[in-house]
Amino acid sequence: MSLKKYYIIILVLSFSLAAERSAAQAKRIITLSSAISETVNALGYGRRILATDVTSVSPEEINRLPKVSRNRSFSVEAITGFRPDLILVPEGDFSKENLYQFKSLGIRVVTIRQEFSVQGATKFIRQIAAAIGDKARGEQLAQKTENSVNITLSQLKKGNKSPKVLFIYARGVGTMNVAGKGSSMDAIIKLAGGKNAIQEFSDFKPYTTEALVKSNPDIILMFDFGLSSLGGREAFLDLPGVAYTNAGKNKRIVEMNGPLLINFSNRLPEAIKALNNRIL
Amino acid sequence: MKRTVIYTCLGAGLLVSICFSLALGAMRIPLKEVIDTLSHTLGFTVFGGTHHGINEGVIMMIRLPRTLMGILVGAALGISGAAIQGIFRNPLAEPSLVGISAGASLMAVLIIAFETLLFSSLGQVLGYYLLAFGAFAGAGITAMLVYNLSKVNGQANVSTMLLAGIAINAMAGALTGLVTYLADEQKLRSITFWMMGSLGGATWQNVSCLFPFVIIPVIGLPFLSRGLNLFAIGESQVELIGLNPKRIKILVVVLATMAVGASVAVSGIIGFIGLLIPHLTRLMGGVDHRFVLPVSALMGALVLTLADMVSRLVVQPIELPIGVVTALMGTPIFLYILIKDKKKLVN
Repeated sequence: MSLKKYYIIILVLSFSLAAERSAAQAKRIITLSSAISETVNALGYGRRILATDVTSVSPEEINRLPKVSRNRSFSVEAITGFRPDLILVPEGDFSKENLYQFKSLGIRVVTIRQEFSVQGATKFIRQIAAAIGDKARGEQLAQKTENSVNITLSQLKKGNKSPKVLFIYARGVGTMNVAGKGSSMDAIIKLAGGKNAIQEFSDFKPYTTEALVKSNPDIILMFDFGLSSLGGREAFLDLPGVAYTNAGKNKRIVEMNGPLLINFSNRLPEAIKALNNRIL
Repeated sequence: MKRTVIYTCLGAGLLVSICFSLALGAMRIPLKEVIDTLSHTLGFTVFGGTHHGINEGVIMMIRLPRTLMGILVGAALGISGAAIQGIFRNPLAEPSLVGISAGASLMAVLIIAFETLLFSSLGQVLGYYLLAFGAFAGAGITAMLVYNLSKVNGQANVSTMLLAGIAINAMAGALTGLVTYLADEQKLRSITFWMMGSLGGATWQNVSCLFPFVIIPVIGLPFLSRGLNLFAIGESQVELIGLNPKRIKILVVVLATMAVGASVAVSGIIGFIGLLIPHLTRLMGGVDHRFVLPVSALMGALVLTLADMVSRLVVQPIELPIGVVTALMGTPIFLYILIKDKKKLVN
């Protein structure tokens, strides 16, 4: 076989490999959670996102995209209208019927499971990259995130003892929940060098004044929209029971950006650092 | 003569609204392609009949099952509303008001909560039937309960009936909430589905499962209309003619709750259709059940198809719960009936 023939074979092979690679990659993506949108963007595929859900507000170029889902309410047809070739959705947000509908339309849906830990964050990135069809970049970003988390953790400010932090998720007085063990907030508080004030139950449970006083947190943490839904700092400090806690006595009410803290994506190092700065 | 006109108009209206329902949606699909796809499926060609990929998929897999579900659920709610009002001898006896729908949804939620135990051994399609039968049982039990609670001297007492409805709605709502709270969040994503209803989950699977549950009552109930007419005068009248009032009652309740139960199982609670439709029907053509029952089915199908179009098109790209739309249409009628009854009492 002549050298020229070899050359042609190699050329054809590499073309077909390249073609296969790009055919396997998703080009028109719909991302249905803030963490997923953020991660796809960080992987360098932000421009391939056609539409997102209502929680995907950062960065700005993602925020400008059409929002096709609001609190898990959406229309299959409206999503299909964007002619996506990949829909990335948190596990459990699509019903059996929805999955069946997209399947019968020939649209690929990948459900992404989220775990609230450093391992979970890197797994989350790898899952999304694999769904898009670029495992290599996923590996890169996962490594980078993990390294950066390790550096952040080694540089954390440390107090004499880790403060007890109570997280309250508020949507106005009357709809307040506190974060128990195993929740996303529990995990991020621990990573940032704090201690979750609630150890008796898991997940989010409704807030009660007695539970607040009993847990006696050093710091009360809320999302920015949460605190404003209660009427701001002063109004919150006036709520029954708050004055009996260390946090109330020292007026240590911390408000932070919600998605940053709970997303557990590539911005995890940033989230740990920011929370650490505020509670220690 | 007048009735022929009504049947023709409603039939034509339903056909037109089906066409619109297939042609309109969040995705813009040219009418030509809609006709093309449908005719192609039926086996003939109008505009050259080429395949249109995703558009064809949307029409065949999303819009068509959804439109069919709207027709079936609308017909079911319309005719069973009329039939139950006949048995209760009261125009306010509506499946969602007197708690029949809530009973159905409670059973459905219970079955879903224990889904993993049941479905894994039964498979998806059988699972849908189980859900439909369960909701049917829930609807039947609550209907009998409310009927027996509200019966005073053989006659349904309106206030007891409505109060029993409130109690059952509250209890079923609380139990549904409790189950939703206890079951894992992902399995029962959204309680609003059961409370507000939606046709968004329509697939060929659940539509074909719903079909017999609706067709049997829609065909069967009109055969009982003579009995229901006599019921309106009094149970003794039924016996005079030589019919068994108890049997008629049981047959009507079984058929009506069968339709309501299966509808609730696939589309959640869609309120006020069962109130609105029979009322409009009686306004148009009188109280004869031979007329009211079939026309209620036809008009229910028409109105629900229209309501679903509203829910799909008003707040694009997302959807309004269809229960919101039907409640907005139905509650004024409810108030109107109350005011009219009050005037009658005063005079």
